[in-house]
Amino acid sequence: MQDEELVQLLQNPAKKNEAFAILVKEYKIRLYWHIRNFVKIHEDADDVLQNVFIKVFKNIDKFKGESKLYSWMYRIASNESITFLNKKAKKLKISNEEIQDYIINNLESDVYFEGDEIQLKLQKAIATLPEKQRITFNMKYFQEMKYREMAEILNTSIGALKSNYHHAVNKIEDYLKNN
Amino acid sequence: MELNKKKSKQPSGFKTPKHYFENFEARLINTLDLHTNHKIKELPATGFKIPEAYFDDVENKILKQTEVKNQTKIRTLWYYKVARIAAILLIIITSYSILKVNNTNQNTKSNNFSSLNESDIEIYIENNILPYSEMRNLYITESELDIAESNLQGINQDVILRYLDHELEDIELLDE
Repeated sequence: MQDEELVQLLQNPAKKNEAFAILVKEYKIRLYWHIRNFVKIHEDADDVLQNVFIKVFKNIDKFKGESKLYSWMYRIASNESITFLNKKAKKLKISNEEIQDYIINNLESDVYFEGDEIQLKLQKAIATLPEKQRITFNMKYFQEMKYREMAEILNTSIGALKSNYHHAVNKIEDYLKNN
Repeated sequence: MELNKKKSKQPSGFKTPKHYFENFEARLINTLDLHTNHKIKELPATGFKIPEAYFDDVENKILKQTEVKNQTKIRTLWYYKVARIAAILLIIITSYSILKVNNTNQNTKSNNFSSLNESDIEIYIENNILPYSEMRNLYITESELDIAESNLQGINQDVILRYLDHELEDIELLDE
């Protein structure tokens, strides 16, 4: 089913529940991994994923089709993940930058992380990046998204994304060489 | 096949963009990637894993939550409409009452103080308070006091004491 058709069904009160079930089936895995790349911890990703779908369900009538459905949903997922991390930092009384270190330092004891030494080192390197570069790198490297799609989701230019990715890669390489 | 050969030989006027067929498969896969989950399986390894059957469970959890929200929404739409009207009415009534009380208080205060002018106060004093000359009449003058004292001098002290003893119930009060 095409997204346009799905949106029409979602905006039809009689078909909304049925269409929403299709939407969840279609997007749950992609959105989960997108969120997981932000929050890293499975339980947190699970919470955010559910919030994202509930937001989509509640706000689908406001979706005017100015962007594509998937980019609208990815945008909600990105915003929800960032908000979640900021709230978590506030709860732990640490800065929004320190939360990245906190999460990575706890990654080794996470039962849902089975990465090897290199994968852990890569995560540590990513945690050192500024927010925009970190988001760009995660979406490009782990999710293999196209710049065009990323630009639509993050509401930024392709040039800025390319630049962010380039800087991110250089910084990660430096980190891996020196640590 | 015969038809295909013929078609390719005889120009129809229709043409395709350059390298259209070469790129077709790649573009088709890209389009499918946007609508299927195939690509997820090929993503670079991150080391992150998920509990078994997580995606089946989460789907049920999300759908249950939205079902509940949907049901509540039907009830709450009506409930909130009534509650909103009641709240607005309550605010209007409260505001009106507060304004009314304030106005009454202000009026009372005005009646007590503001509305009185100096001439009214003067008239009141003139009519209700005795002039100093008249107030003096309320008290015994010095000459009257002298007369009273001279009258008392003519009375025997024993008579006075007997009178006091007889008229006063508690003579000790005199000592106080």
